[in-house]
Amino acid sequence: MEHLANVVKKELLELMRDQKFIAGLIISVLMFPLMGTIVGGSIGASTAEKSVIGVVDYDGGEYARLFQEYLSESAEIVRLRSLEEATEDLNAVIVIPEGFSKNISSYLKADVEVYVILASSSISATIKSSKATGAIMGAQGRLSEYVVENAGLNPDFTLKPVRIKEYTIFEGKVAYVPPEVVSNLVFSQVAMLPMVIFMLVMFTAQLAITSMALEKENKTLELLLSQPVNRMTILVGKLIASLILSLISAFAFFIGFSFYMSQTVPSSTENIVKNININELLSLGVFPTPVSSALLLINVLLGLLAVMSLSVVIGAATEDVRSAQSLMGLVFPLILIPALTLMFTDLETMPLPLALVVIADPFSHPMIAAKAAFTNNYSQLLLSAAYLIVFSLVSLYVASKLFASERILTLRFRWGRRRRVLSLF
Amino acid sequence: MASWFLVTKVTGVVAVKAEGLVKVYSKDVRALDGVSFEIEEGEIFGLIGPNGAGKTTTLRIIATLLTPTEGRAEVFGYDVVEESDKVRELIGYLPEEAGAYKNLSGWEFLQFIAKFRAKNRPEYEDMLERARKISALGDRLNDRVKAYSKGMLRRLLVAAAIMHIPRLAILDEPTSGLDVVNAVRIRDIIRSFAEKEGVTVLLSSHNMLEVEYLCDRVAIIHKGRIVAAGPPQELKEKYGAPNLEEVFVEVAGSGAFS
Repeated sequence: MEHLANVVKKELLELMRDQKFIAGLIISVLMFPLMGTIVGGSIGASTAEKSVIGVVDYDGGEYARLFQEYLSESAEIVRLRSLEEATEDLNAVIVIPEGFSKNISSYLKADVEVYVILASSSISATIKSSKATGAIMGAQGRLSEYVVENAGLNPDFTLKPVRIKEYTIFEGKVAYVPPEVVSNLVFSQVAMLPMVIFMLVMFTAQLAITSMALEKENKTLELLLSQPVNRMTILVGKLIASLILSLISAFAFFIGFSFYMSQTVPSSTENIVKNININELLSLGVFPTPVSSALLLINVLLGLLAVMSLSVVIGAATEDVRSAQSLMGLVFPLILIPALTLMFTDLETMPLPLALVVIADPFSHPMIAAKAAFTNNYSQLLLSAAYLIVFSLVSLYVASKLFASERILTLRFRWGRRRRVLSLF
Repeated sequence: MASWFLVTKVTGVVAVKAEGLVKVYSKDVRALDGVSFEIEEGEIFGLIGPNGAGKTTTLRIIATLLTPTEGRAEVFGYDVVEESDKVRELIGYLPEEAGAYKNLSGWEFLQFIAKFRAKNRPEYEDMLERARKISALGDRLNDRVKAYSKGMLRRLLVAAAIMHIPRLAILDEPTSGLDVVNAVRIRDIIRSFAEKEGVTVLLSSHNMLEVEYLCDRVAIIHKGRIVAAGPPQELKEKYGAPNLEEVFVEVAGSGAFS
């Protein structure tokens, strides 16, 4: 136990003081918040500002005046004499032709021409242009209310005679909750959690491989192996240290990422969630039960154990950190492919060959488990855990055999001509 | 002088016994081809020979890092393969071209190694104190290892290899790549440590003059075989050579062993 603590402490000091690790940690904390501030900042500014609409009024009648009045409630109006006067500062131009008011007062459809100006391809310009379109639709609605009321009818009833009560059926359960609330919630969980797990697995693989490659690069392995310490203690110490540091990294990443999400995802969902009955939402089972959470945790830890054992073996076969990291290119797709495919599709909807590849890939299963945890799919959680137990025990066994033998010193990946291919990653 | 020490410190206990060591790395590489020798407790024993002769492989087998393909070796009666745990407790090993953890300070590195060796706190403190003296690095022990010169690093590693007073110190090319001042310093450390503490030393070198100065007995290794062995003086007399280098040229070039 004392020896294990000694190994873990050494690994932590050696890895934590590595400049690449520190740089990576800073980047993973700051990357998303920086993106969030830039993107969120410009979106925030454009949502706060009103769009500017130029109006060319060839009609001059009562309904044309009313239409502009309604428009000015949600947009800034600039009067123009003709379309040619429109500048890039405007988000849209509306041309009201002659006869607009006359048509409406005689219950005939009247025309307007709307020219939306896309000034640049930036997000904020696009948002303001779509807001201009929204303002025009709003004015249209107000105008129809006015017309209906003038005809002596109740506009609230006439325009919306049907009251819609939205329920959601999710995984066979019904709740009185609008579907977009559920889908937003499911999306944020389904996207967020696999993302964090993906990063966790990546960090762990990177750290375990570096820990081993550093021994090779610094030529410290022989001295370490000649010490009166159990080889398994050395291996386990390396795994524990990699796990601790990757948890720190993933936590840093998670903080950065959730800050980013809170900045970019509009708070409208939160408002909707506030207005609905939280118990109704809970009844859908979109939150994992304690059992699911525990099973998910087991899956993630087993996945990490597997990837660490594999990485240690790869690290042992290299000469230095650089070649170790290029060999990481072999493991990387195994982690990235399931992360990407599972983020956007489900196993059920994937083409069968792809689904088989994803199921066979052990590093899919922490992410599959994350999805299963939110639907409380116990059988899937248990299946994934069983597969990961087998895989991680096998890879741990291989790693421990390697550590116990002289092959830890003599193992080399012979790549020869393949080297050029590998360095492409 | 050397023979006088030989008489007083050698106890008659066999420290290392190697019998017919063979090491085959792959079909084409036969690093050792039947190496046998014995070292008595208290001796400084040198393996000498050119690069690739099999010195490092021999030391790695004795240090329990490699398994011999054939033959066997013992350290104070313990088999290096079957009882490697026991052997590791008795030895201190300085690998060839070894390094230390670059992001640790010299002091942290010594602490790391000492914790594996020490049975209790006073023993741990003693080891570190001894290491401080052996390395003679002073305040530089607080600096990160990556800032060390080659000579400083080697002194740190020698300290890490012998601070626990092993019964057998295995030193692979202890002075290779060092300048004269640092090389002499390390030789003095080894010599005085062996004399004061009665530690048995097995070292390798391709510098035969160094070995002549340091060792009580030497074995000349060539192409995986020991081609001559004995006290340096005896070997020189036997082959009528002024120094060990010429002895080596004589035995290696004679054709009988090549």
